[in-house]
Amino acid sequence: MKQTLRNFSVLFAWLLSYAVMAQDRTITGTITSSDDGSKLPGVSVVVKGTTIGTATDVSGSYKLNVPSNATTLVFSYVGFLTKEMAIGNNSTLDIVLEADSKLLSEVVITGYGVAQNKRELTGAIATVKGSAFENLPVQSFDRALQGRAAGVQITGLSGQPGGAITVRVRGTGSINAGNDPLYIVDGVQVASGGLSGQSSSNVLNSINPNDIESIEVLKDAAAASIYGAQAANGVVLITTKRGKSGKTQFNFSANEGFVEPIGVLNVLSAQEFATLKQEGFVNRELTRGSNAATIAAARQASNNSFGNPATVQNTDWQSQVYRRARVRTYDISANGGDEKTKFYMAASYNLSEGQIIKSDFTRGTFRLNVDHKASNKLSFEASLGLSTTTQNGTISDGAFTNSPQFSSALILPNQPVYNDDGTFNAPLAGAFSFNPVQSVTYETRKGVTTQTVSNLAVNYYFLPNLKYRAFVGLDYANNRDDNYRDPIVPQFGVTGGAATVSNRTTLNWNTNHTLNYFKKFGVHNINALAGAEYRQEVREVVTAQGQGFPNGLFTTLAAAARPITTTGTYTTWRIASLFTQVKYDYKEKYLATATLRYDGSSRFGADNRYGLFYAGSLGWSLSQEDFLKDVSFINELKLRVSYGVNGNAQIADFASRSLFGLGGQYLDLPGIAPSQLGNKNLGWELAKTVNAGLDFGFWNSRITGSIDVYSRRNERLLLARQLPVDSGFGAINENVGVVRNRGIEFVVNTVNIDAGGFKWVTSFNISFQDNKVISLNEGRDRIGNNIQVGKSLGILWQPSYAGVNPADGRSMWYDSLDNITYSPVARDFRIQGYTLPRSFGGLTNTFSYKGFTLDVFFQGQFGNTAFNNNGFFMENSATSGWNNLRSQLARWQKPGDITWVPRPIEGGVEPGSASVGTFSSKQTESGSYIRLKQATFAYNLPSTLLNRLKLRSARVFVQGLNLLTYTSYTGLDPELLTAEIGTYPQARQFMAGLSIGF
Amino acid sequence: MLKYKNIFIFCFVSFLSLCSVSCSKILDTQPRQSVDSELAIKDITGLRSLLISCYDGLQGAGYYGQRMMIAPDIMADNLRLTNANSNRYFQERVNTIFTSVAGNLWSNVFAYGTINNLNYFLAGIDNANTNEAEKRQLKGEALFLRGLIYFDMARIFSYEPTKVIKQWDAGIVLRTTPTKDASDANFRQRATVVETYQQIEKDLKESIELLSSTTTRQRANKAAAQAILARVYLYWEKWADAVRLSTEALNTTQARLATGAGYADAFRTSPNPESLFEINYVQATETLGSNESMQSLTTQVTGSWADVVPTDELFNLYEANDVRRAMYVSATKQGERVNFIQKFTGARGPWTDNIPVIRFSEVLLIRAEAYAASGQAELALADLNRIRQRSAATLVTGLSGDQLVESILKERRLELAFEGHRWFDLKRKGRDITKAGLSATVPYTDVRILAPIPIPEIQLNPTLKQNPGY
Repeated sequence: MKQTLRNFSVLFAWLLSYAVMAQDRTITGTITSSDDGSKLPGVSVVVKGTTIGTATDVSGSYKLNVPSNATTLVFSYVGFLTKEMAIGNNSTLDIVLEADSKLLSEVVITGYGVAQNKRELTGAIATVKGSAFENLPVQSFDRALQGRAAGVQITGLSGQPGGAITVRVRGTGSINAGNDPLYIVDGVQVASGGLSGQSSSNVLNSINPNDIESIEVLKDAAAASIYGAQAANGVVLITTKRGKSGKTQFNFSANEGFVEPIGVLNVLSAQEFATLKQEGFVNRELTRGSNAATIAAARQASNNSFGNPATVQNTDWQSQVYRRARVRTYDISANGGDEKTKFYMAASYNLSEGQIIKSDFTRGTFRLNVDHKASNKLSFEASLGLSTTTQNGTISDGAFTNSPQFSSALILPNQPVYNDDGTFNAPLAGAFSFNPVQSVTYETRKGVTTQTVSNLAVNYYFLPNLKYRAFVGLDYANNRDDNYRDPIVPQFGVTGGAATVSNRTTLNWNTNHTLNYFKKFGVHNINALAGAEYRQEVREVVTAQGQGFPNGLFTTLAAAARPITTTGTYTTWRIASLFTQVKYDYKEKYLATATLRYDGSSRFGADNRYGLFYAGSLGWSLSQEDFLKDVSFINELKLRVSYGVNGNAQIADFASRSLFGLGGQYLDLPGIAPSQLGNKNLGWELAKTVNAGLDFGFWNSRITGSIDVYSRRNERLLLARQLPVDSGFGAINENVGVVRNRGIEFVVNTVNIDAGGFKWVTSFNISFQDNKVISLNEGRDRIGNNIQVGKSLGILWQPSYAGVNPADGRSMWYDSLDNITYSPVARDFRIQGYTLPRSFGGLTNTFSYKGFTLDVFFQGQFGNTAFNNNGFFMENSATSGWNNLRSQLARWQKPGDITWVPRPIEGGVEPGSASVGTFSSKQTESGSYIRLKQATFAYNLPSTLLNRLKLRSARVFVQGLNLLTYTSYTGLDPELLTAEIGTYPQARQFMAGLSIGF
Repeated sequence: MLKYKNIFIFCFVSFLSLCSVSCSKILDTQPRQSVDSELAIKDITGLRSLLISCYDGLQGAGYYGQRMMIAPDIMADNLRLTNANSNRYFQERVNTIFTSVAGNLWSNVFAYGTINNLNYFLAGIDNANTNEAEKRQLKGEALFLRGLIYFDMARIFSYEPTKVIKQWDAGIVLRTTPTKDASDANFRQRATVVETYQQIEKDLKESIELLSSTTTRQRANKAAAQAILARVYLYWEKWADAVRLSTEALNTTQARLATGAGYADAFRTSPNPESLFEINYVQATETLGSNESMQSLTTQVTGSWADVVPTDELFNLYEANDVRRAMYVSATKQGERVNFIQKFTGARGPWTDNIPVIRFSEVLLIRAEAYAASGQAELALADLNRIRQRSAATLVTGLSGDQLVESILKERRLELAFEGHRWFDLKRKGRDITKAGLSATVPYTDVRILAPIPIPEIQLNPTLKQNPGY
């Protein structure tokens, strides 16, 4: 191929030279990069003041016939500083071009293919370069944003490899509509959410993070408003890597490592559990005033059920389901091309086994990005992204008795995993009757997702400064879920085993057509964009289930004796839009942007289908002003202000209609029933955001950063207006409430030391946010207990726990007057905290010396209250049918004991008291944490060695994830959302890798 | 190059015009699992399906599927939990405050959701495009279901009309017209309990007029409506009416008293030969599964919870030869000796059993109690002894007055265990709720006798009064 390319360019050069044959002088030369000395193809070589010129060929050489009066040649190339060179009497001019690193790093993508110099920005945009998370062992790029983008809060919903995640840009603004940002991959608006029903999954898994060039998070109204009705929750633009002209460069990287549990729950041993149980049985009889014989019988009853404390054998169930598991990734990419055609091609393989047995994630991806310039007027861009992902999941996060991560800690520990003859001990006694080792072994939970996110764009220049761009993007995913429950598991055997197959397809496509006019009129610079867009999404699911299998060797539906259900769903929505944006600047000193977008969505009521969204912003580059030009330590200082109104359309596809839905069946006849009250006026949620920001750079950019202050009012919130349920309906959707988010974000990047080859660079960001419900439905100051006017969202509403009465060992709570009560009622509930953090951020320190680099990345969040729902199950003095935490050993035993753990009483209810399992402040804890999220130690081989090995670059590295956590939270993982219950925890990872370029 | 230019201009202009001219069209979408309300019940086929959804509303585990059967027994003295259990009915067994037979019935779709469906149906049936016979039949079914649901709610949330204490005579919120849009969903007060009973009586009387006696006993039928109305009169202490209606029901129905030998088998037959009205379950589409089914909760088979067993007090009331004692199998659950009931054994497929709502023997006992309370001891003893004889239990003789009523109440415990009556029987008699010595008795004056109205409803509707003490 190299040969072919060379032939083409020789031909091309020959054609060019033919055109200029009439000229009378020939200059030749070679152009190389100052970076690494590589030859640069496609460099434009022009005689100054004329249109006479050529481009360098694949080997970086050029040959140009110049008129005799020519004096100077101009060499220009994207990403490099333009260079002029006097011809003099030379017939050979070899040139070294300096890379314009500053320019490259400061280009920001602002939507619809528009790239803008960061200096000209007036909106609030967080950029994360792909290099910041290259080779990071994460399955999806959104995880990599955690702690790296100010104002963007990333929370894992599950530690399952490839599991779900929530992303909140500047807080939670909506109560009932979605809060997810809009994700756009190379212009394709991708559908968000999970695809598989068999394990926690994330639709963004289809993008290999190593293919990403940069991620831009459009945060304020000014930045995001070009996406109008979909922009209220922020917009995340993902730009994948594209080819660079020049010699084809290959990159290969391999990563190997393992994951292991960060920790498991510290549960009672069988001996300890049996001891507490026995106490509970005896205490229950004591409250009944039973005689000695009955008490002895009760003690024996406990021993019969839970073992005699003296002799019972313990099983550590958690060690049977958690494991150390393997993780590996391989990546290979090639990129190159010439001035006309460039390509980036990459393939990857990722295997991430989970820390819980039988759970894993395997992904293969392929990407081909091609750019072709047919002429100065016409160019094409095509991106093809393919991926296939296989997840073998555990049962999803939550309180399920057959979920291994939940049940392994709760199983009565006096029961072994295997019988003496080696068969599984099943079913188990107690509430957790599944033997999780057996059920995981004999239950298939597999989701296979094949997805493409691809696009094609055509650019045509009507005029050198008037560009037309036509774009079509496709996001198509097919997911097939297989669930097979082998009848060998006793619980599955009752129905003779069951197989469920689901097939989901998501077809989501968008097209847009834009005209872009850009021109500099002296000191006035104008960039105007106008366009139209259409997006459509269709989701379909078909599910079939059969029961009654001969044995575990037959797993297909065809082998099922009884077809059980066939069911399916279909949903669709559409949006059509017109938009325009004008950017203006005066001497790059005074900047202004105005945006207008008109959207129509099928989701909204017939009378309120269209919405107009807009934003305006101003910027003032103080550092360009004369009075600051002489202040040598300031190299950048820019003020930004913006205001705008965006929309949120993330509601159910048919939320505005009065509907009759399926109403079950009876006697094999189908039922229908009213399912929803309609509202023809249902419309957009509005997000009104005002933002002020300051960008700064001091001491030759040794210190750079920004500060942004914002306030966002989410209005016309889609709130279900509660109806009296005796009407038959719980609620009707209306546009009423208001939630305000305000906050401040700091980003500081510093070069602390740069001397003697040693460099220490720090980047730090922290965001403070404040959330408040301003108003709700008319006349209402609360919806239930968790949403209250004047308070933040995310209320934890529980009575306050007052500890244990030292006299008799009973649990006590505070009533509404702060007196002790033994059975709290509704009025005694109060706010115990909020699940939304007050602040979060990240800190990266990079140390480098002679090819060695150490990256240390901390990330954390502060001021939120977590609800430890695991604790609810596991901290009740061993009074229910499952195991408890060892903290329960501190139970009350005799009058005078001061403790928080009440005395065991079988059943958990003292006469006249609320249950020991009453939700209260006992389960609410501070959720603040700081985590050493990542540390990477790398060595780049020196060029002398590289030359000997004929390599362009080589890097070896070791890295660890989730290494240390500082928190007072007593549950498994403070990073997981709000109420930890049966959640698949995150793992600690260690990796070693090699990446080479040639 | 000019031709490219034209192509692109054409592209752009045509896209813009597509957007602006036909914008309303390109945004038209239609759901597929649902249809617009107007369309749905235009035709009798829609109305028929609407009525089917009302039967479906009875089936859930929160209503007749499980809760209505178990909770009244475990909240009184009939049932208890095994030592090792899954926490189901954990609070109910000790009557923690805020637990109730089915307080959630107010807020979940089973009750008021179904009531609204019935009201929708009743608003449309008179003008439906079908013959009079079908109209009468379907309308009668709908009125029966509305009466049944309103009565269940009344006995959960209100005192019986004759047993009101502290003048707390609040009934439930009554609605007899559908909620077609938000303006129909106005705030309403609770009717008085007498008004509530009058509405129930009206619905059931009308349905008795409309229904025929020949339809399947798994849908509403004339005898079922008569039997439920007899039950209403028993709670209302209108003895003569209770006698009359139960007699009519017994005469009308095709149900019969099972023999002693066939007693166990009756619960595995569909329909149960004793059922005047029972809820049918089809395993493929309606099973409540191992998590929620009666079978899973009450019997020990692989994968079941088998948490709910009779108290020793109840079990010991059965005479040695009573066929109903043989309905229990003795077993060991994790070292604990227990007796598991065999009324729900997966007769309709794994985890699937029909639910008898009212059986022949209950109607006999209703009549016996009404006779006894109105001084007709001989007639009462005759009905009571029909049950006892069938069960091979010693016959009751020589009793009258309160003693006879006691004996009938005891018989109801024995005959109707696991069918959701004990709490209501104690409550309608104004008795304290005894707990077989397993936890503290709940006095009749206690707040817990009435279920709390869900708090969000009280917060929402200022005219809605909460039951005292919550």
